[in-house]
Amino acid sequence: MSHDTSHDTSRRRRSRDGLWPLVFLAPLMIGVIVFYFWPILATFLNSFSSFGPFGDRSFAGLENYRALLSDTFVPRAVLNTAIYTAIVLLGIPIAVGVASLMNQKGLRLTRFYQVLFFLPAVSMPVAVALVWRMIFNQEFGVVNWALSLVGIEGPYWVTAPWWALLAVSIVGLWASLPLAIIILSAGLQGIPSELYEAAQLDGASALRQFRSVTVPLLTPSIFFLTIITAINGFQLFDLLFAMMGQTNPAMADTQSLVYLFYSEAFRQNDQGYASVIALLILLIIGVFTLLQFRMQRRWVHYE
Amino acid sequence: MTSRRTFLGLAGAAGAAALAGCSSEPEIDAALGPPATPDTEDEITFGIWDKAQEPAMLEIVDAFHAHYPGIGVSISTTAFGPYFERLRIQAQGDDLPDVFWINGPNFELYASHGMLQDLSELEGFDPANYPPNLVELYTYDGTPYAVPKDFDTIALWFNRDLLHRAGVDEPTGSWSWDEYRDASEAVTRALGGEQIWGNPGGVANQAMIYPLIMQAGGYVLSEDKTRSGYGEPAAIEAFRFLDGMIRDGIAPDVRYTAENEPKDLFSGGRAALYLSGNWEAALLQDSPVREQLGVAPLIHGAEEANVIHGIGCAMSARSRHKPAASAFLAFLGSEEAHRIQAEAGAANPAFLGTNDAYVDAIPEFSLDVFVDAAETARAYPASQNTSAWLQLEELLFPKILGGDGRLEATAAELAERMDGVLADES
Amino acid sequence: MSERRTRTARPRWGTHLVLLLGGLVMVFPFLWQLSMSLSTQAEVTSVPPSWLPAEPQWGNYPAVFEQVPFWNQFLNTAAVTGARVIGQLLLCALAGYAFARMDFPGKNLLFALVLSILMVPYQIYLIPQYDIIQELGWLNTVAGIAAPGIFSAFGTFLMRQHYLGMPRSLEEAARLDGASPWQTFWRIMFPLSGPALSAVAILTALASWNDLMWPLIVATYDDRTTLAVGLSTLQGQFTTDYPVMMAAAFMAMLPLMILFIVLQRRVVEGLAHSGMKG
Repeated sequence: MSHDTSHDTSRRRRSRDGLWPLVFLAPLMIGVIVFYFWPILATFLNSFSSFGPFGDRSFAGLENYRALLSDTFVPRAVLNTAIYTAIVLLGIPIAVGVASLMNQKGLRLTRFYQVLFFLPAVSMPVAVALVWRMIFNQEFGVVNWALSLVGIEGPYWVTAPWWALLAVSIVGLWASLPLAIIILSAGLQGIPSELYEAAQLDGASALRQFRSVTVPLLTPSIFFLTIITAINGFQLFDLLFAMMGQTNPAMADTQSLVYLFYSEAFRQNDQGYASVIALLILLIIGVFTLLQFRMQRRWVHYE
Repeated sequence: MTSRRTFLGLAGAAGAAALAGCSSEPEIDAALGPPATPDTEDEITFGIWDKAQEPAMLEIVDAFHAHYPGIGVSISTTAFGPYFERLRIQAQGDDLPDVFWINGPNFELYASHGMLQDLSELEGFDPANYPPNLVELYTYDGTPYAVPKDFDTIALWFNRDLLHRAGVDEPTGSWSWDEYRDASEAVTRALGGEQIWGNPGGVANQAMIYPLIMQAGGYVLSEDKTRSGYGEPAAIEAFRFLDGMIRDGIAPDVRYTAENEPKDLFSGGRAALYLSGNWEAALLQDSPVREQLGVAPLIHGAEEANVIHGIGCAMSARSRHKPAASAFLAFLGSEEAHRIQAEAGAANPAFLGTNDAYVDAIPEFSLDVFVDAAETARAYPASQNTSAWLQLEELLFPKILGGDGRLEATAAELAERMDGVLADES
Repeated sequence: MSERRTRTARPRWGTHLVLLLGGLVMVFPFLWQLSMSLSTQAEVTSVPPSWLPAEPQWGNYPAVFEQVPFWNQFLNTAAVTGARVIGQLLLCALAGYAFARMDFPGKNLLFALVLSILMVPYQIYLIPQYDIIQELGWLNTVAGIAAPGIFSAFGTFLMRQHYLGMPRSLEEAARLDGASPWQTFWRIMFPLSGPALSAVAILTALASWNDLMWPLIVATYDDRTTLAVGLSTLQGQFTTDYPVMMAAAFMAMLPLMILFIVLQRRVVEGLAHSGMKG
């Protein structure tokens, strides 16, 4: 999984590292094991028991797993989460476009634009979700007002099944742009200008330069972004909760996997079953990430 | 060498974490014991969830200090949303506040798992001081586990201006379902062009659906708490009544009310009638149309029925400061503390006879209607795992009233799922 | 950032137009948030809500200080964020370097395991972490709030990418001179990581500033908790004072905004040098 440009000689030399890896890794690993691995292990163990809100445990074997297979909410939740993640991933090409425009040499106001596009990242999520809710209001929200200008009667965005998913995804995409633009801006600035000059001398148009120079050299950043964005996308919960609210008519059809997890753990008070859902989430994200790492050889260009 | 110590440290931390979950902690005496004396020195913690009531609570703490100068009380306020999530985590970590607020839906869960202190021996606490149905709400297995703090009942809020403009007389006594519906219809027909509704619809359970079902002669939760009443004819009748108003265009549909809340519609002068509790008083005081608002007794169906609910104050069964906590809890339940609440106007105190100050605090809203309703109201329906079937309600009420033609089938589905939850309760 | 004005003296209208429109979309919710913070409750909750207040209610801003101990919570948030950032800079740099440059059995598996902690719902960490912090007696302290956040898989991933992208020549030279891995790291590689560390710093600060659930359960007292938690208490059970809440959210956001503007250059350059190359 790691892209290791390993040279045999260096590996033999590396064996001189002795206990050094332990020293370097210990501070992080102690914390990770205590604070993170242990809970995951506990979750795994919990998936085999049935227990209520206050821990009174009893062994339940594979019962929770069987329940997972027969739960009608699960496939829909997986679909919802996948659609959300797919839409948010669309933000990456958008960010590539915006970052390219922003980082053109000699463009004025670059810092102003950077601040402008960074704004969603600093905001308090609850306040922002509330404002977006109003923007998507069927009766008086901006979106439907804009649609009405071209004669379209807008739907109930936040309270109707598929529309709600779309609305939440749009906000998710919007919120993901700052991080993407920052990372891509950095990637762009790492591209030596000599390459552009050379392409220009060869008579390449701006668009051609973009396709042959910019994009290929950005692929490492895009790869990193894809992994992180996908992981975050599959963890959809807070935005859903804040934007739709628990009493939303469309919630049953729009819930994400993590929302389902929360609902089982804290509302239905079934922590054993909730643990299985958590493991399912881990499995899905893990497989997706693994595939990405395997496939990176095909499209990511390292120098 | 460092690595071995690290390993032991790891094992220790992991072990501690495991043990903390199992809680084989210092032995705590289950009995309540005598309360603290005025010269006791101690510190206790008090957990609440409403910032708006914080000033009143602080006043109560000050008054408590006058009697027990040596006992310090630290209040921690959590937003209502995450309050119970945090409470649960604290319970699992054996770290509950000494005294804390609890409500109907969560009471039995905590009481049945031994999280709450048995209060039958609490000095200064006399159940006769509070409405009997409230005391019943906070009694489990014949034992009281929480002291009633306040109560709310449901009534009919109205906007007399809108009613008059539609040619309807304002309600004086309790209207029947038909009168309620007719008045709503008149307003919507007359003023619909101005985006004004007769009543703002919605899917409120405590304020609307529970009372209506009870008024039709039905129940939400059977007496023995094993069966759901949602599939019964009475419930269907209540659902049809509400659904009918939506289909006939008298009230807005569920998606509209999910985006624009009934309370905002009423508060903004866009609805004439509103079934809700006295908790709305605080919000409606800031309404731009407050002069036009009034309160009438709750409507009635085949029967008269109302729902009473209120916050309770409980003590952790594993509190390390029981004498001090007892003294504070008893004070919280005392007449003095309830008078302070009443004067602050944020909540309607449970102590019988102290409501005058609350009613007088906002005279134009006729809050005595709510107080009078307490006598005949039924306790809020709750079982051990109320939270679970509340979520089922949230999921399915909008579908039942969603107008897809499957009202009875969906109501039956709700009943069935709820029965499943009730069956799983211990 | 070299401002080499090669040939363009022409202003790029097309570019500016697109960026401004895009910028407007980015910023528009904030403009509304700002407008709400200066309105009255009635204006905000009316159906439909008014876009602009009839009169700006400047009083909403001081009202925040009456409802939450803003200053205390700000200091707590800053302290927690500072602790997490510093902790991560050290730990993630060390671990990232080890994953990138050292060889040991099970390296890839271990890295995969570390990355996997990002792949479960955060709620599963709440109770176990709460138990540990409680055992340590760190409830209601900055240490307690900050502790779990110091150990980060994301920061480690980022630093690993950074080190993988750096030329090995410097380290090889150091080896030939007989330097130990620690000396190589501390004297040569770490100082060169300035830009990547800035990136970790800003991203960690972002995550930490708005973190809600964990500080909420660890710090139960108003004056010991963070801004995000304080903000949440403004949401009542039945009503929320939206104008004051928006005012609070706006004020809470300012420090980060300022931090970003100050660090802007370093952040972007930092990420450039971290390379993101395998």
